[in-house]
Amino acid sequence: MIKKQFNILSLLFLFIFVANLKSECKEMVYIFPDRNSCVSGDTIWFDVMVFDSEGKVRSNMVHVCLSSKESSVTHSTVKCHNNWAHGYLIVPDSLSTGNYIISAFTNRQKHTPQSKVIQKDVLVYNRFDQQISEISMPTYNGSQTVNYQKVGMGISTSAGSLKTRGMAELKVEIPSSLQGNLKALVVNVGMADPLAETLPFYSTSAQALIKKDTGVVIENDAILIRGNVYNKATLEKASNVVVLLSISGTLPYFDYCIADSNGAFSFYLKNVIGVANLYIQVVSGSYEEYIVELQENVLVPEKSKKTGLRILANDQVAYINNLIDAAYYNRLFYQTMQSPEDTFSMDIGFRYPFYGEPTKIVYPELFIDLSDFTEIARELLFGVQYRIKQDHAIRVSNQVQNMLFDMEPLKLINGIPVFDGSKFSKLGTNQIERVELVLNERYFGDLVFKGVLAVYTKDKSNSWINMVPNMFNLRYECVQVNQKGQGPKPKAVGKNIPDFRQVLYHKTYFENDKSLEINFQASDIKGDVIIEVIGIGKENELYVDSKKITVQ
Amino acid sequence: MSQKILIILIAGLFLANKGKCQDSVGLWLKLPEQSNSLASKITGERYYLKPFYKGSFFYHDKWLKGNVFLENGEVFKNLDLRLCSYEGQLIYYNKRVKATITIDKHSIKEFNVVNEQGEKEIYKKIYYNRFPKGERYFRLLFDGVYSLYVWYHTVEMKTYPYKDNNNILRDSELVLTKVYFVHTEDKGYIKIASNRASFLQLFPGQKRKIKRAFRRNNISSFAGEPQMIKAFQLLKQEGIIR
Repeated sequence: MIKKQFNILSLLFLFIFVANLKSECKEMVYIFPDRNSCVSGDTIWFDVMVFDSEGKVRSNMVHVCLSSKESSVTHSTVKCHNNWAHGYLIVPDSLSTGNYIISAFTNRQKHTPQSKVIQKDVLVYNRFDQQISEISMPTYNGSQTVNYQKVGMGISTSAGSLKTRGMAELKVEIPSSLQGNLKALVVNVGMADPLAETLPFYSTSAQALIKKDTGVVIENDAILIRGNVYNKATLEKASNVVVLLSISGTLPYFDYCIADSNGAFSFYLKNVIGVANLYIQVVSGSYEEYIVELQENVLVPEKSKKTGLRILANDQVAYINNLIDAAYYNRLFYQTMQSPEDTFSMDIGFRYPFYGEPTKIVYPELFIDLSDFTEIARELLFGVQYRIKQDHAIRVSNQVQNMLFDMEPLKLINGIPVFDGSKFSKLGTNQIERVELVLNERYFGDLVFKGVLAVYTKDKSNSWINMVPNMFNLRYECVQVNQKGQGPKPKAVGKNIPDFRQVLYHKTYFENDKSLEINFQASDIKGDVIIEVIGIGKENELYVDSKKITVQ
Repeated sequence: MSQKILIILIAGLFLANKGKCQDSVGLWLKLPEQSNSLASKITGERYYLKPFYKGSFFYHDKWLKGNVFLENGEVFKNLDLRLCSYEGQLIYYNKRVKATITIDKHSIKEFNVVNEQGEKEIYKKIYYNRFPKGERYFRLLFDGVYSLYVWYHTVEMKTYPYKDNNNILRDSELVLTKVYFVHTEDKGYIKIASNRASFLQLFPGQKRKIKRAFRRNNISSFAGEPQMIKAFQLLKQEGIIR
């Protein structure tokens, strides 16, 4: 009997061990921001490197999130090429002074409970704060920080001190022990913030990022959009409703998902860049109204992290005041960076829209002016029956069987499904660009369309959706537009224009040279400049060296 | 009299209901969660079975398990597939919605099926720019610098009058034709006949070598795919092709 119990217990332990192995994720991301501190409204540029200590990297989408202790502040998603990506975070103008965390992670990490996320602490000073004398700083123990090796990188400069706007030559002599053993070298030159220097190089979040494993989806050239549907009246999770996703465009995008028992749905958008205008519709058999909530790709802050109030020394206060003043003048003379809202592209990969090759395409403006859709349907759309008396019923003919379908077709306006035929009634020749008709029974996955009537209007604002129940127009930041070659603010071109750059140089080198020679120009800000060189070894280990020079 | 009014009223209500269009949404709501897929969806139109003829519209007599590779790089595995050689379309049976679907040709890059003999048949979508122009599914028989393809095409041919299963008099039958093509990077697709002369014409500088190779290996018939594949393998062995 005891032997039997022992066997069962052994099997149980073995099962737990195997289950743990399965869900373990060794994929991690290093983030290299161009600064450790900034003023609210600044742009933090960064490089990220995704690596897997035990195998091949499978994700190429990295989510970068700036968060406070309480909540996420801003985030962006960047696409990696050869495991590296370059991007930026725009720090909100109204962000209060304090310690914030930049986390970089993949979706695979986010949905694997055992995974750790590497984080970088940054200090943000609100540009309207007059006198900052104390700040809440994090306190870490040894297990919460990432180990790195301090190695002499042979950093030398042409001069020990510089005049404002003086040119400097920087030389990095990679030690022989590291030559040929480095994947990349990150060189960062910027004003040294005495307070930010006390922050750890990297910290880690050991917190389970999600409460339970909802299924790991590897984002490769695609992003995952997850959300939930709730009943508006009862706020209960709505299950077994069909959620439709549409993205309007020349080649419209469409997808569907049947919400699970928790009202959860997900979509996987491939090859998307920029900010998408998503049209999400909840379709159910009832007249009930629903609410849709999308989950953002952000990190839940780790509330267990300890912080302590730090009284600032005089040099720290002076540096912060200088930085805030510099930010003020920068705003006067240079434009602040705005996220490019209008940029959006999506490569669907097919020649025809999701409803297939149209049987007919009709351009009504090539014919006589027709005032409404009833006339257009009657005069121009052969194979379409539009009946206002029967609740604006539309039916199209099945050209294979030479008869009308017994059900309504899929009706689209600018690629967005419409279930109310009256939305078409006022569309006349002046409003319609073209009408595409599919006179066949179409299948999209498991969805059946008894013919398709797709109307594309000249006005692409899609304002008609405002009155449609259970239709949601959501702005969703997909993948950041590739900012290769972009970086911190440029140097001032004239003597009369102030140069208050905080970051003087930031670049990642992938060539494994023996030495690097770099020129950089100091700005008008006086104080210590810190030159930081970070080497990333072939086993993803970190080698760090730094040197300070003074700008007088 | 009142009974008549009642009947007319009921009939009127029935007809009114009948006239009102139903939306396809009702069908969508019946779908199980298994219909969800993060991959892009297979698109196509319903395939309607046509009247019975002598012969078959399909190259494959039964549904075969296979994989479909889409133009956007996605792969759908373990589908029930059949090649309709009459229309040159790939037909798929969707078990969940119980429908035979012609998969959009523009979305397919290639597909493969495992035939009843357990062999894997690989089909590639090729744009053929000679008559008749268009996209066709060519079966890859031999892959190399000189690749051998076969195009299965079922055509309707006149024959002696006969009665079909429904006792209808017909005078045509469906016949499967096979057209072989050799593909090279520089010459594109060259149509070849399944005989020795075609091989000699294809490699005019190596006629003697080819004749000798075929003679020594007793290859005299090129009637089917196995013989054509064997001939190409032999040419590779002899170093005539790579």
